[in-house]
Amino acid sequence: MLGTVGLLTLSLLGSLVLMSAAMQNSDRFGALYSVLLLSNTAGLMAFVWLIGVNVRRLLRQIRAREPGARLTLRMLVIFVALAVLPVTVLYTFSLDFLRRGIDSWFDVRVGDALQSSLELSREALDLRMRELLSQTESMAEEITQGAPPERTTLNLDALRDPGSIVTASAWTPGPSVLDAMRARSGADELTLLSADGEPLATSSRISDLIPHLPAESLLVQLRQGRSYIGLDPLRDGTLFVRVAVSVNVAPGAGAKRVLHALYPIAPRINRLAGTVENAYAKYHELDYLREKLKLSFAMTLTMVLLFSIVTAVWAAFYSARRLAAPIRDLAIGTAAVAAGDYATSLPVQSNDEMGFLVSSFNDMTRRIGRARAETETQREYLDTVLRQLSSGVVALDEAAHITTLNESARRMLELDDDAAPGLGFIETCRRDDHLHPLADTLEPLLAEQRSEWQEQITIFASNGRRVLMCRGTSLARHDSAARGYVIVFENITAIIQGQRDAAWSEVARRLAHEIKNPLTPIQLAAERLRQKYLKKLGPEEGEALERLTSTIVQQVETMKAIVNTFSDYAKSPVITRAAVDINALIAGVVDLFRGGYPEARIETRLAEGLPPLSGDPTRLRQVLNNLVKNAFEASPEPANAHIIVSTSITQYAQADHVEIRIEDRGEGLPEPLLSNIFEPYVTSKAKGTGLGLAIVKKIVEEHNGVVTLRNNPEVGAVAIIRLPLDKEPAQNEEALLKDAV
Amino acid sequence: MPAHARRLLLLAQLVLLALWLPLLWASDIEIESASEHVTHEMLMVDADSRIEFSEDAIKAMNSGVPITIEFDLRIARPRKLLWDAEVLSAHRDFTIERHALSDQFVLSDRATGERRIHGELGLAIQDLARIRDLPIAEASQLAGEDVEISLRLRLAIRSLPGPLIPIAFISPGWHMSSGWYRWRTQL
Repeated sequence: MLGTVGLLTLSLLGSLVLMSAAMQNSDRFGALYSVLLLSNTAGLMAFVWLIGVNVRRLLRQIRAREPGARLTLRMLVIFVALAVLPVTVLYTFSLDFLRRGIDSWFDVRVGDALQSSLELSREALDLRMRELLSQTESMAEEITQGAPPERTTLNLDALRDPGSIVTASAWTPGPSVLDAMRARSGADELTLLSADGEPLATSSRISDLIPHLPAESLLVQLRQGRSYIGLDPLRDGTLFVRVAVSVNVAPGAGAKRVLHALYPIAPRINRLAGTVENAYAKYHELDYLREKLKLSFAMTLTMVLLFSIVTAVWAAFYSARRLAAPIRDLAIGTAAVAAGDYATSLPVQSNDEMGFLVSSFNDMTRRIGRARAETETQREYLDTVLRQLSSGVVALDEAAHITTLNESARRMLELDDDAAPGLGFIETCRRDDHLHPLADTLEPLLAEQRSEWQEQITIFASNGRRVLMCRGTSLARHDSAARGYVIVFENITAIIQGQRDAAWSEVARRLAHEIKNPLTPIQLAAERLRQKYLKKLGPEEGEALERLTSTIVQQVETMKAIVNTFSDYAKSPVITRAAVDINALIAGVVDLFRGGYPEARIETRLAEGLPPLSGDPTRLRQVLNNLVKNAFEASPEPANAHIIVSTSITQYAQADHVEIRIEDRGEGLPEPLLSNIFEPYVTSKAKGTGLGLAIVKKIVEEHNGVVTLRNNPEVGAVAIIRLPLDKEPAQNEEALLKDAV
Repeated sequence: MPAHARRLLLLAQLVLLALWLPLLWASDIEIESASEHVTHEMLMVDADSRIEFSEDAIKAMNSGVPITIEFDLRIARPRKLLWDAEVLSAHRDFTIERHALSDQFVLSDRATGERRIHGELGLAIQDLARIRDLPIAEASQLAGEDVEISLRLRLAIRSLPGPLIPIAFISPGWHMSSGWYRWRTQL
């Protein structure tokens, strides 16, 4: 492109030079002028088209907000102004000087002087011309007097013979006469013509074969009776005095004739007159061409101006683009860096300050890239550490938006995939019902902006109650007063449960140990007392003894049973998991009770297609037995009790659960007991040990389930067990069923 | 080339054409009749024309600017299937120039140097319009040929003084051409 434009510029320049030369020397370049004008116009139009294309492209880039476009426009305007303004000023002044210069050539005094010179020349010649006219008329008269009356014809062939004298017919003056006349008069050529211009006889000192014949217009003038005299510039520009007069002939001798004479002018006068003529003619020609000359110069100058302007504008385009290119590259590179592309490297095209700037930019992007890579490595390292941590870690910014959330926290809090960095942590927690307690606890803590805090929070997750130990630490930033937080979650459910179970087990074990040991001696002592004294006593006393010892033995047995229950509770849980069909398990338990209470109404609403769950069937049967038994015992008349046992699949904490509901139509539980009904030694029954529901809860929790007990709104109470459906067993359903079989 | 560039180029061509069109059609010279004859073994041409110079040209001649009229003559042998075969091409320049000292107009043949003097410009133009015995070639060269002769008269802008050429080039008043006058003859 640059080569093409350079070639075009050189061509235009050459064309303008030729055009200028054509102005000065039309003989050499005049023929080319039109071609040059056309080629220059075409070249200028090509430049205008190029500029138009560039302007359009620049406007499109500005509209598209491309980097560097506005800078290019600004530089273009500056360059164009810098180039065009001086050229325009120069053009204006040059044009003015040109006009004034051309006008100065044409001084009125010079014109008058030339006109006077011309008039003077004419006057100088006029006297001589009048003498010559008179002389020629005398010769014509002389011929008239010497002419015979008859008409003769001229032998034209004789005119073509070489020689200076053509001899006519007998009437005409003979050669000697015409020669004598020419010699006497000093004429260079003397020709006798017929009235219609045909030469009859001639005598010439000039070496032409054919005499210089007068023009038709001259003959017309002669026919009108007027003689002709004038200055004639002949072939080589030499001036002659041409005289033509009518030659009268005698009446009846035919038409008039014409005597045509060419008289020389003295060489000096001829030369001076020629000089005056040339100067006058040239001056008047120039005077006539003055405006044309101005216009032509103006046109050429305008062409040069237009050429300069379009070249300057195009050069401005080229320069602006070239200068703006590194800046545009820098803008693009900066945008790329801002967008996270640190691999951007710009070409260094010059060794100047701009090149240094580009080099610095490249160096900067390399450093940023390296730093970013290091940061990324550190982040990945941190992510890996966080991922491997069993503790949940959530980092929040000053607006409590999540910045980091490790997998343990996601798993522990059972957050869905939508919970991602950038979201408000409190809002995210509030989206899940089971995390409301967490949100309620954390919100004021975060608002207080305490540097450190620690809270124990209980949530009900998919696998039941979960106790979390939350520790929050503020993250103070050195460059800002704003604080973020990092919250570490520890799942201490198992620890607390273990501690509690261990405590209760210890209590139960001690109770069993301390109580069970004296029971056997008491029982033995009572039985021995009865054996020893029953025979010795009378019937009445014996009956009393029998009753009393029986009561002791019976109560001891009862206490043994209680102690055994304590022992059972105190035992470490050993769960033997298998695929359990809950519906089948319930059906077995219900059938057992139906046998015991044939009048009772035991209604089962078992969900179809219930998947098996992983659990210990023996211990789960114990749970069901306990709860159904409680339901019967809660009924006013256990024999006629109305029990509803139902199963269903429910969603809880984003996981599938089997929900088992056992409802009775009893009086319900006293409200004060509801909050701790599952604690050991808490019972509503007069004869209860208070361990039944505690064992139920223990077994359910061993299965990662949740058991609740609440009063029905209308009548009775309902025990609800939610047992999680493990995905793995469900996916391997057939294998588990086989194991169960 | 993009579509918009082609449109621009076409527009520029149309503008140029619109500017030059009047110049192409400008014609104030008409050859009314022309004929050839052989005299003294020379093929000669006679032609009668109507020449009407524009006011600018008249003014220029009266101001001493020489005006040249070109006579272009071509003799071609017509062919049936191919284009005509050019046999001869001749070119003659005639100049009308004012002679200030004698206050006359000189009609000169640039080729032969022959000059004819006229007291008035109109007479000089009439003389120019009436061509007689313009020698073209020796008759023996073309004897027996069935030819087409073409004759054209036009004002030679290139012969004008330099400063006048640009003006003449863009002014219709200076673009004078008769167009080709053709006749066929047996030589």
